Amino acid sequence: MSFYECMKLALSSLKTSKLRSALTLLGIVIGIASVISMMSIGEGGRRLVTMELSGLGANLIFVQPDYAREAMSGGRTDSLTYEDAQAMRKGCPALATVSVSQMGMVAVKYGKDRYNVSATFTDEGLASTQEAGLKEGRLFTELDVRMQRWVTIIGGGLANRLFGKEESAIGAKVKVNGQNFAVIGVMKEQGRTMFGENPADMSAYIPITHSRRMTGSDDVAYISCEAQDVKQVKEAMDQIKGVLAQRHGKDSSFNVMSSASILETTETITRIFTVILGGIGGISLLVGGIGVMNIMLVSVTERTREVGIRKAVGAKKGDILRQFLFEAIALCLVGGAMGIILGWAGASLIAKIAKWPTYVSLFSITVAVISASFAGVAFGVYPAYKAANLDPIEALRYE
Amino acid sequence: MIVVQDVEKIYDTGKVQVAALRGVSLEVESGESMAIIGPSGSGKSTLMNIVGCLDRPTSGSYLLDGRLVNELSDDELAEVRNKKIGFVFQTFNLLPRATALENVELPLVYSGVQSAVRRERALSALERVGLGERADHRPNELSGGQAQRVAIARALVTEPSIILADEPTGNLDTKSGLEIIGMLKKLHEQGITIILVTHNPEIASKTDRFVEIRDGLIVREGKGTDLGKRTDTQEGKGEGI
Repeated sequence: MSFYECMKLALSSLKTSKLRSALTLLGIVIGIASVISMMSIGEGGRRLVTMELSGLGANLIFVQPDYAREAMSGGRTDSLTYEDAQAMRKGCPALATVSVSQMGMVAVKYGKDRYNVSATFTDEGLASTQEAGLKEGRLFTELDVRMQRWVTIIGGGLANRLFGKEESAIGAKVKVNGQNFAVIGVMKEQGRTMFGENPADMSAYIPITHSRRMTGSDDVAYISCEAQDVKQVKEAMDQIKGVLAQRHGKDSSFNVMSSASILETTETITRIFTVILGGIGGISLLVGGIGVMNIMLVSVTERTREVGIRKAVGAKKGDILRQFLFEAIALCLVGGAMGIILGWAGASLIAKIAKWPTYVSLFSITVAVISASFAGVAFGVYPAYKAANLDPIEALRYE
Repeated sequence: MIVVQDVEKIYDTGKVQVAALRGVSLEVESGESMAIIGPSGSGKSTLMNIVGCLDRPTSGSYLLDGRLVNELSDDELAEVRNKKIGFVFQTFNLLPRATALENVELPLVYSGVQSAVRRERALSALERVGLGERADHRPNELSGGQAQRVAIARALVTEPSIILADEPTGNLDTKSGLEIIGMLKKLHEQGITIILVTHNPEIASKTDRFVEIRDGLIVREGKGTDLGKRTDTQEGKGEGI
């Protein structure tokens, strides 16, 4: 029996029980649609993160305490401090900028308004990296940091809430954790992100030297640096390691990562994320596939006599096997095609409603098509095998 | 030519072994017409299934046109059924959702005949049984006699050398039954070997010769014409030959 005839036969027997075929189809449609839309969520997220990271510039270098070692060995790792950043400014000629960062939550109060916002404790390095982001006022100077001046720079969103559009924030005194700070700068608003309001808009910068009092520690979470240019990234990383070894000893361990390697790691992580999401969608495909198998088994039982007749007039095992297998595959492929369309529509809907940048990749469509055909074969082969191995005499007698 | 030698068929149901055939030998020449008679449960259907290559004997041998059927694989048996044998069943066994024409086409589908040729041959087979006009009807739109004629057309369409008819008139009224028998007789005149399984001696008497089976053994053989004179109950006295 030719391929064409198998397909024709499969479609005609699916047509004879329309409702049943449609319901079985629905299982596959939903399964494939969820694979497609789940993967589009993951893929969209991946692209967004990658895009944002590559926006950072290729000459970025991050230095962090080796938290992994801390977690593994239980011991305390070496901490980074403001002094390390100062030493790097002097000792690493390949670096253009160095800035420290430590995160914390602070309460910012002006008049009656009080907001809990995230604070970035940083230093004069901010001036070289965030210059473009400044809306008005100025950024920290070395003196601000060293002298522990009571100054702060606030995000655009926070400035709007505290001072409104008319009042100028610059020079105003706000209370940060109860202490008076003078606002010396306001950052530009960055607008909404996929999570809603951009947290950067509701944050404050505070000189790192205040962090001991406010967070209880001198430690710096990370130091971000920029190499003079992309070609000097490697050289700069070596210089950083040299400075740190000098200050903390040869056994000290810090993670010195370039933006390229961070990008790579993030890509790997987000890709795994996509695969996991796809896997969650795959579970519903599995359920749909079991539905196909269930219906095919019922169908084989119902059509036992038909199998007997076909065998009596000369159908070989392979003919019967193909007949039923093609029915299952046809169900899954038609369901798969409809699922791709539905999944695509679902992805666009998610993008619209949840403001999440979904992306239907060729990869996810390929995965969907392969899993649909695989489901057809996997869940169709047992019923088809059962049909093919029916004894013709028994099958003919079946009522 | 059919040569069955000491054929036994034992069904193993796990606990008990049931012998459906206990050493049957039979020869049917090409072009002969023969009836296998016997009460239900005698083993006549089992014999027909073996002769029809739907089943294999447990022991003994079966030569069909010089070929040892015992050793054939399932697929080879299917091919033999497709090429050499046409079946006519008591319950017609037509595909209910297919038209008469599609039903007749079915054996040709499995012998790989092109769709256009298939259609043509199926139509001419239907015309041979006088149902050319009913090609587009489904089995439920046909009378019992017509359905059985479609089944005969299906049996004929591959131009087999043997037609096996298992109680072909069992579900039909007398008139339609006679029509069917007449049709089989005509096919026999055209040179096709006809093997008829029946418990009706009246119908069996229309064949060249008969064998009678009881409890898995051939108990009597004779000319078809001998049967017409007897009734069903008298037949039983033949035991012990």
